[in-house]
Amino acid sequence: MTMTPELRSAEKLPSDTPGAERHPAAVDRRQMLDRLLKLGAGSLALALAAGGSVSPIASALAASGDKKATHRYGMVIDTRRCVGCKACMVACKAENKTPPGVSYTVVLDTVLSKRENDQPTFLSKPCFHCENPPCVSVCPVGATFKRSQDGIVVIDYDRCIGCRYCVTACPYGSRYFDFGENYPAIEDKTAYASVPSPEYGQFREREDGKSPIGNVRKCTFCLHLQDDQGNYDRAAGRWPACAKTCTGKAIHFGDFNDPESEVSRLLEERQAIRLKEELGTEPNVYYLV
Amino acid sequence: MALRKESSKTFEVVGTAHAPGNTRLVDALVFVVLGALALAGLVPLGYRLASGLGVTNLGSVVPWGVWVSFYIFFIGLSAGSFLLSTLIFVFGNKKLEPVGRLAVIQAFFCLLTGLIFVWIDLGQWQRFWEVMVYPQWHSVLAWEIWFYNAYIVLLLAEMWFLLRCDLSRWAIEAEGVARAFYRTLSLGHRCASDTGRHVCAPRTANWLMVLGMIGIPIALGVHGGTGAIFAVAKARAGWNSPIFPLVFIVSALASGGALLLSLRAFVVRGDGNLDLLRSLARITGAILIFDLLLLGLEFLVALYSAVPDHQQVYDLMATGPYWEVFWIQELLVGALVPLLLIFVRTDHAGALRLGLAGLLIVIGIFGVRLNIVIPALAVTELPGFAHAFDSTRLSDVYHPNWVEWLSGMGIVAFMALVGYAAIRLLPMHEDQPYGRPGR
Repeated sequence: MTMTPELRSAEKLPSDTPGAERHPAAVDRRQMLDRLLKLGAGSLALALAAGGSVSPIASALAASGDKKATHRYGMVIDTRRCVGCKACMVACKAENKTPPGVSYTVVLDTVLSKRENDQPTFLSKPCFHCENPPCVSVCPVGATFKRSQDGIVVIDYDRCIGCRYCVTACPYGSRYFDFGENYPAIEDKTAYASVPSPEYGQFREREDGKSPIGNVRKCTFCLHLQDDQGNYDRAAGRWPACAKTCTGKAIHFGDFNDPESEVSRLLEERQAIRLKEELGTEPNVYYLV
Repeated sequence: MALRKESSKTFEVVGTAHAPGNTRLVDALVFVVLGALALAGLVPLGYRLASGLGVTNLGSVVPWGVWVSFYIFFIGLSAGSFLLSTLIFVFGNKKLEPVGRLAVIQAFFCLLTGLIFVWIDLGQWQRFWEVMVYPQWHSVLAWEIWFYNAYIVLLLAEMWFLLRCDLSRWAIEAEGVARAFYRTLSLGHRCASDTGRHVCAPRTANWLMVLGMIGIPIALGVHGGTGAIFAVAKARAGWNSPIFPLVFIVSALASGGALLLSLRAFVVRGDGNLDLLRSLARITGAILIFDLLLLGLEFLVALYSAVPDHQQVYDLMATGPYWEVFWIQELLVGALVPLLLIFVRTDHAGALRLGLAGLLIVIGIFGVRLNIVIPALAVTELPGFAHAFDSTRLSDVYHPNWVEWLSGMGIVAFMALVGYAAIRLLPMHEDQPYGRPGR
């Protein structure tokens, strides 16, 4: 189970690598820089225009952005179907090649108090890609932002200074700092070490002292699997690794902007909750309880 | 040392408050000890800069640790001593006048120390310049960068106005290296004779008042804003409170006054002006009591409301693995003992007793800083998160390791050394009047 996704990503790599520079889902660096510069120039005026009110950066991006919000990706996770196998964690690790101490999704298990003999309750928890992400507004250099075209919260590894303010600001523990540690397979420079992470379509090889080491990292909804229209394709296997792998079919992924999507229908038909609604973050990940 | 030899002559000429006699021996001893500590810290610091934050005990649950505590500690010391100096330059307090220079110089070096700590805490320390070039204005941290920049300029200007007349006179009286040194620092200001000084003095007082008035909102922004970095983080129940920036400012005033007290008692001994020390000690003690009141309010609201993630922070502080920081460092050593030292028969208190009280308060406020940063982070955002997978980087128990402690010690020792040298080399005499013109 652990090997399958890992081997797949290793196998498909040769065909992907030549086009890595123009990978459809790549967060194009120049484009990103351009956007950030626009933001830098515009934000002061914007802040003044807004009468000093602090609105999330996403709106600033949308104001200056060229792309319409065509997608709003999110998840509906059925806690009653989650068996706590943690396959999502393994699949995520294999897909994104995250180092020790970094896991874009986790399964929290809680034993209810006074019910110690019961099964624990399980909660598969990726990044919630909030509508109002508190992690984004605290970043002093605008290295992390919510993409206007699909609502995915991303990090520019080449801009992030590693101050970790966003780690403290996330109410859901969805951000991890990359301390530069490696699994033995990487440490020993086995063949696995030369397989880059496909994250953001950037295919960075892991090297001491080079980003993303020393940066904050987080779940990207595997956006490197999007095509150039920003679409995922479940049948073709271009689907977030955790949702693709979930043994209990508890993790449903899709586009909330599409009323026909599985996630939209689930929200309509079932009672869903979001964590810490009182904070006003408006997560895009819902739970069926 | 050659510089010292030459300038020691000018000390006599100018008639500074430096105690003669064994000063040189003490200086040598201080330089050797601080120098050795600074060198000892250089090795782990180099190790950290070369290998990244992996050499620390930080993690993704407690991402900020002892370096961030040092950062807010020193920024607080700086803002606190500056705000106290405005009592003299803006509000015309006569009693504290002799420590005016010391307060501003202390504020400057403490600010630099704090900035070094936040710099070495960056995962990508080579990219520190990005905060200037790519500010993201929704971030309180980005606001703070510019408060710090403005504050550095302000302190440099204020130091120059404070010292310019003496520096120019020393430049004229000294020879060789010392002459060049003081000439450079005086930035071309010239007032040779006493007459010149009489002309300059009221202007200087005027400038200091203007700079002080500009500086009050800046210093409040510097440290209240540093508190706001924490207060706006709604993810952390222990921080997310409007009282937090105020707590930062009050504890900053207490620590700034306390450091000033101990430096004036032990380092810049001056004449036997015990009135000054007692007055400073009373002010510091009163601020500390106010700070304790705020602490009590935080505990009252947290424990009475008993909202779990809020209460857990204060439970952790009082009974968790950091209990000794709270009970011993913060309350016993940092508050109870120094308050007794200050307020029991103050009129009989000597320099040693009051200086010691100041030192203890400074140590106690460092405990306050540790307790601001760490327990609020150690309560995980979601229950069970620290055990979601097996990694020391996900631990909710953080204890700094030797790299963090030793490099911290090295930076503090190095900056203390630089600050000590500055105090010894700069004209620190205490008889300049700063009264508001027209009084």
